[in-house]
This record gives sequence, structure tokens and C-alpha cells, in this order.
Amino acid sequence: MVSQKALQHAEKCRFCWMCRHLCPVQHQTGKELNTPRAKGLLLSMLSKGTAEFDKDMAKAMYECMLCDACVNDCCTGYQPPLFIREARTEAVVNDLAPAAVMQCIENIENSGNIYGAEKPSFGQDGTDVLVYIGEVAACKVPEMAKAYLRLLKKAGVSAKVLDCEPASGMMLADLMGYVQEVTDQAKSCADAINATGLPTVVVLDSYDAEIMKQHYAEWGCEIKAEVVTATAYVAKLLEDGKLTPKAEAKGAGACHDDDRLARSFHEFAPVRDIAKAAGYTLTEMFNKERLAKSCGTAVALSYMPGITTKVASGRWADLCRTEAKAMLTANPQAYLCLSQCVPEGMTLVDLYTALNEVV
Amino acid sequence: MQELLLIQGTRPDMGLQRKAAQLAETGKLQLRILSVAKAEAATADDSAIAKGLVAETNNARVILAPATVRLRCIMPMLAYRLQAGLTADCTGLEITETGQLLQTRPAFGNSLMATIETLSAVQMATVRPGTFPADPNGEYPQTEEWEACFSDAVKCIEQQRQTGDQGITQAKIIVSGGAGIGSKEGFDKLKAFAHKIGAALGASRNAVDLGYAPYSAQVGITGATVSPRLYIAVGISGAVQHLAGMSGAETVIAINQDPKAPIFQYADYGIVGDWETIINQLEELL
Amino acid sequence: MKQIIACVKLVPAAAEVALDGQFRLKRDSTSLQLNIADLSAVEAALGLKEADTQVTVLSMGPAKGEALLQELFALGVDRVVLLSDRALAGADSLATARALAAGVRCLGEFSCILCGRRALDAETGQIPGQLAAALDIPAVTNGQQLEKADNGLSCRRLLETAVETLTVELPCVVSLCEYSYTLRLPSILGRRRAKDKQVEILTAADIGLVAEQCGLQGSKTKVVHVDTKAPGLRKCSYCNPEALCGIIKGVQ
Repeated sequence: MVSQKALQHAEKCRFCWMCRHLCPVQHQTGKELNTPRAKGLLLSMLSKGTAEFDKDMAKAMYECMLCDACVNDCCTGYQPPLFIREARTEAVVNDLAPAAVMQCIENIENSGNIYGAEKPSFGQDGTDVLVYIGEVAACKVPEMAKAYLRLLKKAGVSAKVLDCEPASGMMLADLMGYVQEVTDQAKSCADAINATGLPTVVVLDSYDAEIMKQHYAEWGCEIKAEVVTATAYVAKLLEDGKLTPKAEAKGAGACHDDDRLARSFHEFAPVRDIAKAAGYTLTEMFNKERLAKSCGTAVALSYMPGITTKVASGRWADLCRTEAKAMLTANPQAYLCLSQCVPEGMTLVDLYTALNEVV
Repeated sequence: MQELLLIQGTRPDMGLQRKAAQLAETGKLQLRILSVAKAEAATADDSAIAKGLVAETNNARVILAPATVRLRCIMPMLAYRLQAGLTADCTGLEITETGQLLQTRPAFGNSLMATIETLSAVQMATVRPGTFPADPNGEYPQTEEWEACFSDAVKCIEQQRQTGDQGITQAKIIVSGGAGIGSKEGFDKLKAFAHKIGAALGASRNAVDLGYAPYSAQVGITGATVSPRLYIAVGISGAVQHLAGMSGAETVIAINQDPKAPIFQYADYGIVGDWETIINQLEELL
Repeated sequence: MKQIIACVKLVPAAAEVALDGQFRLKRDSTSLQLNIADLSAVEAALGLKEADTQVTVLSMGPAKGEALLQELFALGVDRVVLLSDRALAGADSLATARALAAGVRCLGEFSCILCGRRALDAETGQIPGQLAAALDIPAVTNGQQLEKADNGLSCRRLLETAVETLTVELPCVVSLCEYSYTLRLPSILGRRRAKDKQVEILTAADIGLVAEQCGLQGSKTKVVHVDTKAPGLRKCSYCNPEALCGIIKGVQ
């Protein structure tokens, strides 16, 4: 059913159960079925013929944020998201995926993005860098995108944003695994980016940056420009003195390391540099950096709002255990998920808007 | 008298010529040297050359050729037409007094050297260019220029000489990385180090297969054969297939975390330890 | 183009492989993977495919490779034929080419045969040429960038110091370099279609070969000795970075 490689990953589990302690979904649902280990076991049963792939099993495969926390800490070096993604492919192929997932896929097929909405135009046609906004920021958190573009303008950077920006393939890959439909999207996206001829593409959403930097080349559609995360780019502008923030004390805050910055790029300092520049005194949540707990993803929020909101509230609970009152994030997906359930007395801060206030 | 037929192409291997002369003497065979350089220039169709060569093999007991790209295509075709056994990329050749050829080559991509005998009347082998040392004072029978044949089943429309950077085959120093480097980023670091000390970057097949380095950097039986003055093997375990590509180096330095890695047995100097730490130290010292 | 045949080999995935008493690979003990250069052959074949073209994958090896070959259907491969028989085991390149040629003759008319330029396990790189000789058609080895041309195919051939652009008449054999193409991923639609397709397994008798023509019996080379030490042993003196520094400076 799944590839040999995926099955190898599924079957080499040593039952140490560390992933059970790390999985943000199982933390919130308490369901054993939600552990990465359980999903591996299910696949192993399928290959041995002791279980059948049905709708319930398919649903279990979708109850995962693909946040990579389990990969980061697996003592055998095995990668549950690898086989979970393949199982999702199998679910779609066999018409077993949950109806909400199929609705998301249909939206992407019809409109190019998961929200079935047209992406707004940002009316930017600059010449220094291309900014890739991504569908979450464009459709759901446009203030963050606009704040980011204002920052670049203040720093004297002339930014371009593609009209009718194509999807990166990131969301489709979460919904149906790494299949040709995803590489087709990736190719159109890379073509559109390469056609601008600009030397740098600044990617607002680290989830988009991850697929571009870590998968496009193996799919034969490398982006010629240098791909930079939005956080690293702005941190560099601060370091180079292109942005000079006024000193302003905003109280204690804790930075949320999103899944991709935490575990795909191991990029931790830039977000904190931005937060400090914006005037926050930093404190840290217990699960930080590579161990940062996921707060959910935009794609999961679309097909599984209940569980995803619970996962976001799990991250808020981490913050509540610190003295900080502000959750600081520079990622549109994290912002969207966390905004579903802001606890009383706490604030959710978009770091680009916050930085804008002081420069 | 039966012949040992040496087929040379546009890039004749003088080391193999010397070896062939020795083999012919021991095996009591007549050495005959045939150059297909003109035929290679006249047509891009290797199958036509192979077909034409069949007529030259009536007395042949042994047929040898350097494993150039084109002779690696011509020799198998000729072997099939003669229904003769052919061993690819030999790194060692010996012959008995009865003319039985013993061919040695790395086998199965891991730490094994296989010795192979041919069962057919004609025994054929290709040899990695540069495997045997040449002898400028050696005396050999005159090379026969083989009559150019014509075919346009395969036509060359354009030939681009690759100029400038000859890459690792010409480098004086090579810094080569293996799977032990662990990532593409690690290779970038290694490349920067190589650049700093004026060396070319090489890689083992494992590292290339893992996507850490481009194929053009590959050293070994399926990559380049190199003989630099200094070869620095970093995180390379030392599979036979790799050793076959770098054993011609004047001095070999091995850096590996595993003290039992075979590479140390093929190195003049070794350091056991984390490669990154050692490279960092070297960078500071240099 | 009517039919394009891609030849693929399944090679041991593990770095360490076991040998039996006759120095043959023990193919049962290790898991398999598609030979890397052959991935380029499959992708090139799919890239050349037109509406009325059939892409056929031909392989030879143990029957347990069937599952891995089955995955190729999802990429758009129309037919997969596996030559599998105890009698075919232990073949050298000559006997392998003879069997593949017999297999090709059973597949019907074809425009071209694409192969990887060599296999990761045996690494002889002799099959493309020998297969072409067996079928008496031209061959180009070390190919890249295959395209349709007026009377056949055009491709680049990588030589030691030059890159040639060639045209080659059909039918022909072209062997492709590792990484010259990136194999596509299966599509959802392809996966759905693949469910009804099956790998065809042919025996030596099915392709009209008798035992003397194939496998170990049909081979003209024989491994007589295996040594675990490569030539070129050196005496290693262990040293520190400072000493290495001196050696490097000496060469610079």
C-alpha cells in the first residue's frame, strides 16, 4: 500500500513512546490512536493483512499536524510524517479521506487555494526583492502581509509581489502527500518566481519556505533566486541598521517557534531579534526551539477546526506557565491558529505589526 | 601465433600498452595494437565500429582496451558479437603461461576484490585509464591505424569541448567527503575548506547518492580516477569501489570518526574524530 | 513512437551485501531499490510518451521485485514485464543481454530502448551495448537530454572532455547517466489506474531460452576468487591537526 521506505519507517519503531509525550495532537485529544507510534502500527498491520484501510483509519492519518516534533526526538531516526503523508495519498486514491479534506482539495482544484477565494492584490511591483506572501497570509491574515511590506518600504527595499501568486504546493502536500499534483503546483510556482528574474525571494510563511527550499530541487524545479525566510530577512535589515526602532518597553513576551523554523530550518534568533527590537522583554516557554510545540496549521484548521483549535489552546497553556502575557509570532499560520482561542488576559502579537509601530 | 589485441581509442592509455606487452610475453601471445581513433572521429556510431572490428579478431586470444566512454560501448558490442566474456573496469591483470587471463576488479560496490576468469576462447577486458604506469622507454609494435568505417545511424551534430576547469582529475589536492559528512550543508562547509586550501572537492558514491554532492565530484570506479599529490578523505569509510579511484594519490590523509573504518588502512596519515571539529582546527591553523 | 522500452534493474538497497559460496550476490537477503541511473531511463521514456505511445518497463530479477515494479504503473507506465526464473540467476553481462534481448523480442515492435548507463551493484555498464548488439541496432551510451528529432532521437553524449549532440536512428538503445532526469512522483489519478494493472512475469521458457543460454550456465566469465582487501594498503600513522597542517602546506 505505501512504499517500502515508508513501511520501513513505520516498522522500525522500538516502542520507546517518546513521541507520545511530544505529539501535540495526542496531548489534546488523549487518544492513543493520535500518537505517531499508533499510526505506524496501523500501517504495519495493513502490510501484514491483519487490518483493512478504512475511513476510520484514514481519519486517524489526518489527525496529525505534520509538525515533525516526533521526528526531531525519535531515537531510531524514523520519520512518522513520511508514512503519514503516504497513507494520506492512499486515502485520497481510495476515496477514504474525510469529506472535509476532499472539500479542501476541491477548493484548491477550483480556485488554486484552499479557501476557494481569490487572493487579494498587494499592488507591489518593486525591483529589489520578490516577497512570496502565501495563501494563508493573503486570505486570512492580510494585516501581517501588509505590515511586512510596510517594513520593507521603511527600510528602503523595493518589493515585488506576484499578481495571482501561485500556490507553493505546501497545502496540497499536507492533504494528499507528495504526489505529482503537488509537483505540478510547485513547478508553476517556481516558474512564476523564476520569471521575475529577481535575485532574492523573501518567503513570508516558513511552511512555504520549507517546501521551496527542501523539496523543489529534488522535484526538478529549483528556484533560481535565493530563498530567504521573512524573519531572517527583517532581522538582517535590523542588524544592518536599515530599520532603526525607537526604544519602547512593551512588557514580557514569549516567541513561538513555528514548526518549520523550529525543525526544518533551526532558525531561532531572528524571531527573537525582531521581538526585542519591537520592545518586548523575552521570556521562554518550556517547549522552545527544536522542541517547540506546534500550535496547529492553517490546513488542519480548515479540515479539522475542533482539534486544531485544541492544539492551539495547548500552546497557549504553555505561555500561561510563564510570566509573559504576550504570545509573539511572525508566522501567519501560527497567528491564524492561535487567534482561534486567545485566553483572557493574554494577547496575540503579530511581530511585523509590532515592529512597524516602533520604526 | 595467437594474438593479444590491444584496442586504443582517441585517448590511448600508454600504461595499458606497457601492461599488454608484459602480458603478451608471459602468455606467449603476439602483441598487436590497433587504434580506432580515426574511426571514432569518422563516425559517432559505436555499433558500426564494433561490427567492423569483428574481422580483426580472427587470431585474438585476449582483447584489451582502456575503459574510455566510447570503448566502453564498443567493447561490449564486440564481445556480444564474438560471444566472448568481457570484464569491465579491471584494476589488475595477470596471465598464465597458457594464456589464461586473470582479471581483478572491485565487485559489488563494497569491500571486495573479485578475480575473474573468462571461459570463452576470446578473453576480453576493459581497464580503467591510468591504472598502470607507463614506460616512456618501452618498445612496442607499431600501432596499426584501423581503417575508418562509415555509418550515419548515429551522427554527431555538434561537439562542445569542455574547457577550463578539468575538475578533480587535474587537481593537485583533493578534499573528498563521504556519507559521514551527514548533510548538504556539511558539504558546503567542506567545499569552503577545500577552496581555502586550493583543493578540488571530491565525494564518495554514497555521498553523491545521498544528494550531498554532484555526480561530477564522484571519485571511484563509477566516477573519476584521480592521482593528486594529496588526497584528504573526510568521513569516507573506504569501500573498494572508492579506493579504486584514489589509490594513485601520492599521499592520503583520512579523517573519520570510526577507528575501524577501512580507509585508515589505505591512508598514510589518519585522525580519528569528528570531522567538523578537525576541519575547524585545520582552518584556524592554516 | 509506438512503444518505448525502459530497462530497469532492482539492486540491493543495503550498502553491505552478502555473497553465496559461488561469489554470487545473495539476492534474497537484502531489500531492493530501483537502480539510480534507471530512474532517468524511466523518466525519459515517460517524457517522450505521446498519446499513442506505450511505455513498457522490462526488468530481470527475483520475483520479490514485483511489488517495487508495481509502483511504476502509478507514474504512467503502461506495461511492466519481469523476467524471473531460477535459470536466469547468476548471469554475467553477456547472458543478461541475451535474456533481455529475448524478452524485448516478445514485447513487439518498439522505437527505442532506454537504460541506465550502469547498475549500482555490478557496475559493468556493459548491458546497453550488448543488448544493442544482440538486437543488431545502434546504441548511444552516456546519454543525457533525450529529445525527439526528425528521423529519430537527439541526445547529448557525455565524453571525457567533450559533450556531443547526436542524432540517432530508430530503433536504438540509449543509456542515460545518473541524475540526468528527475523521476516524477505518482499522481493520484495514476495511483487509481494502477490498481487494475499487474506486473507480467515471464520465465526463460516463455522467452524461448533454454538453460544453457542463460544464467550461470550461459555466462562466459567466472569469479574464481574474492579478496576482501583492495590493493594499495598503506601504513597509517595517526597524527594531530598540527601535523596535518604541515603536510598540507608542504603540498601547497
